[in-house]
Amino acid sequence: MTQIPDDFGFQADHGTLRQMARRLLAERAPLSRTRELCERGGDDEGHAFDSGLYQDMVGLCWVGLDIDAARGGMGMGALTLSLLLEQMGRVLLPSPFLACSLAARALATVTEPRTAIDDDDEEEDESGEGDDSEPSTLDRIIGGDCIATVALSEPGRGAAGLALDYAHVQTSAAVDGDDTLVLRGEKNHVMWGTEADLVLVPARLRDEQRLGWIAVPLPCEGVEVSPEIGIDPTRRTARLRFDGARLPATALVADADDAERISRELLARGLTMVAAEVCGALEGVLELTATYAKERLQFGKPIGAFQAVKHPIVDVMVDVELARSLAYAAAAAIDAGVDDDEQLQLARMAKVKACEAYHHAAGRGVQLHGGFGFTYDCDVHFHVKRALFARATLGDATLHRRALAAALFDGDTRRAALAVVERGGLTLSM
Amino acid sequence: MTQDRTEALREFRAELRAWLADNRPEAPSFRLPQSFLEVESDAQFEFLRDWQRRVYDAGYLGFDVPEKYGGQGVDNDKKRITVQEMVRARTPFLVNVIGLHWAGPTILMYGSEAQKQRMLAPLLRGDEIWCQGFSEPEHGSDLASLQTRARPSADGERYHVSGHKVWTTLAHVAKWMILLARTGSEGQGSPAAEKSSAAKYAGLSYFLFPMDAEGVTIQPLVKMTGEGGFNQVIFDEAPMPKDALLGKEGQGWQVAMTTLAFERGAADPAARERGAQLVALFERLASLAARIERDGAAVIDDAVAREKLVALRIEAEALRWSGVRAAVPGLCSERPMVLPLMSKLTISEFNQRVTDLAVELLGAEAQLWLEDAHAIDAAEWPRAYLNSYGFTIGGGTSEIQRNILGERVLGLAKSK
Ligand SMILES: Cc1cc2nc3c(=O)[nH]c(=O)nc-3n(C[C@H](O)[C@H](O)[C@H](O)COP(=O)(O)OP(=O)(O)OC[C@H]3O[C@@H](n4cnc5c(N)ncnc54)[C@H](O)[C@@H]3O)c2cc1C
Repeated sequence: MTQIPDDFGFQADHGTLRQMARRLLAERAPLSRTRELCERGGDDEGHAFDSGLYQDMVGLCWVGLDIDAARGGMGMGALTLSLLLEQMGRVLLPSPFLACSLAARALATVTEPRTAIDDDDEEEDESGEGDDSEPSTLDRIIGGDCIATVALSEPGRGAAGLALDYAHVQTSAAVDGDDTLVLRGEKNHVMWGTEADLVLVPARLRDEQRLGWIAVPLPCEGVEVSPEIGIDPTRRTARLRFDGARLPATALVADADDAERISRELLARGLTMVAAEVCGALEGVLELTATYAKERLQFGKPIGAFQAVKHPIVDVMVDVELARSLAYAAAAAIDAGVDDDEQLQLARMAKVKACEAYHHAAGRGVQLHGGFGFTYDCDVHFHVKRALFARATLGDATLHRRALAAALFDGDTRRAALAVVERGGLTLSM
Repeated sequence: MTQDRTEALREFRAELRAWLADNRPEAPSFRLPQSFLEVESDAQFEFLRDWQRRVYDAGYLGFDVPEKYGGQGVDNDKKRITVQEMVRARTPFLVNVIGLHWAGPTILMYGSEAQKQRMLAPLLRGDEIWCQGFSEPEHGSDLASLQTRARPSADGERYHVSGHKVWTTLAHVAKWMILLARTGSEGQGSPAAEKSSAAKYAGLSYFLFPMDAEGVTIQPLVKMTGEGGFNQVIFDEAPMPKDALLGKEGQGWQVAMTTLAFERGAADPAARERGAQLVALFERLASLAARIERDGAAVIDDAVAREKLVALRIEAEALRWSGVRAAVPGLCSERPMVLPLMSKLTISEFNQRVTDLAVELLGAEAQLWLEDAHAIDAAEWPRAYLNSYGFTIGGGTSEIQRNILGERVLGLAKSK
């Protein structure tokens, strides 16, 4: 049985990459730059993120870092990507990097794209591989020519949000004629949907019996992209309405089992990546708060000398470390190729732990900055807002706790747990 | 690691595993203590001591002690493997906890040749049990202010100890005590001078005190569970030879800090196994929730209970991987020392949360105590909940741990 290695698969060159990322981002994207971007509504090119920096990240091969070399990526693991995202989180980098990484991953997952038109049809190779005249979508994402994103959520799901599997997706793709798909439905909270050149959309196919993933180029007739007005100024999201948008059959990048596989993989990877990014943001808010506690004097001493200030900061630090261990473990589980269910369980845990800890830490951050913390001038509000955003991304804590409870406490697992006790011999100790 | 070495270690592990399978003691008829806070009766103590002897005699104890002092020769790999395999085989704990983990390593660091020759072998075999005399009724967290005195005799051959130590675990079965006492010579000894912070530390010395000395009274203390297991020790001009001193006079604080570092758990060679133990503790809780009912339905099917259980399960997993990560420096670069420094705090508080949730889920059943025939799991959950405070207080309270983390790791201003 595969298990996570004792060293999490960490190698020295991962450390080098992290150092480099840290230095680059400290120079190019400190929080002051993020603030400036947010206040000006974008960069000089009219992007809501720093598009120059994004192109430099593309140049460093960060986009596609975890994609197989054979498909044009760097062939590095989820842990490496996590270490990068952690550094981006630390400065609250406004960037479609995560959305693009997930979209690239989803495309790379599909080995045999199929058409939805006829089940018995011979399989056509639509991947574009071996056809070097025109770069594939994946190539264009990795090369920085295409900002891509994934539509993970539907309004019909309400507070639960996440709609990735057949049971929850309501958007439909009907077949019209031989080679046309007609999309109807609505997606919300689409990360960087307003900036995207391409969105991957999960939809119920034809007879509504299967899930499919459809690549929709933007802009597109019959697709209305409306920006959402979000609480987190470092993130852009959109609501997408598909009102009979017509797409060629080749837009179907994955069908049935392949589609469910993309969904599972996107969920496990996505949660793991969000957890890593949030761990970085946690580090950021901890630093901000600890620094203030050393500098701000009241009653003749730094406020950090008061235990009512010191101990909550320590609790935040402890949480950061615990969250980080889980985030790395979740990434290492993916790299080691442990059992799918275990990967997903760890990913859910990592995401919940990181986001709950972050929400708490950001709140303490405001409180411990006093009146200054309540002002727009103090950076800590960026964290409060990012924490709300992160909690809502890819399913909230309630959704994941419920899924975990079902996996951990029901059916066979419960029978196994009871058997352990019948055998006896477990100790209650430290 | 050479191929031969790897092969040798593999063989060692296999032999040990086989030995444990054959020798792991059967559960006794009485309650087997699960930690050193719970050793009460002679029968319990002898059972545990016998286990330690067998492990030592079989050659599986003392991989941190050179052979000439009765150890197996320093071998970190074998030490790690034995800890791992014992955790895995769920053997009883080795009863001479304070000796093996705190006193022994401290003696190895600061002891004279004669002290190492004399003390270490019987310590390893469990023939001589150790206790720790640091805390006093008036001085617990503020350890450096302690007032027990060790006065040199006129002929310089011995010291006489007077004072009062308290919460002394295992003192009732101990042959030796690691004792922290004030030796401040004349002049230094004035109360005013001792209040000044530098003198407070400089006046302390560290001794290996024989518990069978005259003038020593050991009084059992009753724990909040109503059970025994720890003590107070009163010294009335109790004599010890001058070579009871460990290190130099006045060096006591430095030596004691070494002991506390061992006590609070430096890098753990069996992090993965211990992590698995934490998850196993949680699983016991989950199985409790699956067995008990509320209005005809299993508690584990209750939505509120499930949320709370999952939250703790996530915590267990985070602690598990933190233990493993502590051994990967490249993944601890943000704050290199923090994981070992926070483990005492986080594990003791996790233990408390698990047992606390157990008594919550037990609802109306939680109030039944040990002897009640209807008590679920013989009331071990409410007992474990009460005992959980032993771990959040003993060995430096959670509050003190938070001070240490805030000041040493984050660099926040001292609270004093
Ligand atoms: C089960 C158990 C076993 C023990 N075994 C031993 C043993 O074998 N040998 C031994 O020497 N001792 C032993 N002890 C004693 C233990 O080390 C002390 O109880 C502990 O250090 C706390 O000291 P105290 O009891 O005097 O509490 P106090 O120091 O009086 O503390 C009371 C409360 O005030 C808080 N407090 C104190 N100072 C501060 C501060 N600066 N900042 C914030 N909060 C503060 C504490 O956290 C605590 O909540 C044991 C204790 C227990 C519970």
